[in-house]
Amino acid sequence: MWSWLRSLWHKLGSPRWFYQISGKWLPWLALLAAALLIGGTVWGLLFAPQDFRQGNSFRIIYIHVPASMLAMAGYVLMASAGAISLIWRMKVAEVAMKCAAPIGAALTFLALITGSIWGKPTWGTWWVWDARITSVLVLFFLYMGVIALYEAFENKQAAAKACAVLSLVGVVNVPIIYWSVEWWFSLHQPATLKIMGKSTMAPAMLYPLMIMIAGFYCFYALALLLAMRSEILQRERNTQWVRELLAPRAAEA
Amino acid sequence: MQFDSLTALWQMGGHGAYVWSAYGLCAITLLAIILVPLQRSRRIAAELRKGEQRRAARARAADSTPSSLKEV
Repeated sequence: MWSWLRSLWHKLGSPRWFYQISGKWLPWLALLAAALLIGGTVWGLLFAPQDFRQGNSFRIIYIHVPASMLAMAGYVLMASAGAISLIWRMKVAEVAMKCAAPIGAALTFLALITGSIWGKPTWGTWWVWDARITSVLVLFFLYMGVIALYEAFENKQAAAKACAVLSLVGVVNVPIIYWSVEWWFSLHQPATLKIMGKSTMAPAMLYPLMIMIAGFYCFYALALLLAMRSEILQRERNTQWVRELLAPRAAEA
Repeated sequence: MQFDSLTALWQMGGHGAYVWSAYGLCAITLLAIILVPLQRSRRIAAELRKGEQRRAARARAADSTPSSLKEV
């Protein structure tokens, strides 16, 4: 078990190996993501019962909650990849960190805007400076900060180091977001989904939500792999293997 | 199905604007996240191929240069 993990760790040192193996997973990941997202959306939009108090606007939950979860999980992934690239100087980890930033920023933006749209009919307002919403906005600024910081450096090795440090400093925001609804008086709904113990949501509403969450996770993996592959091609475009892959030489005359 | 007709589905009990704008934004965002890196990879491949063509053309030009004019 440990020798397999160790060999996997060593293989991950090679961007080329990563490119080749991710190519094998991509079609399956795409299929799974599409099936889960389409199935979950149809179920949530058309077949789940409407909420007693909120009516049909509650259906926004099926995109708001998964987007929020991935915004947070994506940040932890970015920070972890940053830490690994700092400690072990691993290229693939650096690429993962760099690519996770714009994807995470887009998903955080989606969470904020779907939350805002949902808030209008539910709370009567597009925005409120409550603990959770404000800390998710901070998360969005952190993502944008990482993107901007990377572009600010000409030396990309220094850029990666700076971004890793910023990601790690910001990761404290994630537990703050998670527990904000318990620590502070908050307009935002407290947790109904629990990892341990019983969730307080009706099964007919819960099952499509779980499918959408799974679908968003698969989608994130797909998006990250696509972005990482593109970044690796860019970085390694002068190497033999990329040249052979993308611009195979015509047969010598 | 929770809705009796397509009109009912569109209107979502008065909340149609909220629900459909949220889902619409979601679809656009998710598509963009997937398409941007795909487009970038395609551009990198195109640039590499152009570079390869230019190199091959230069090599052919060099081959066809008469030996008296070739650099030592």
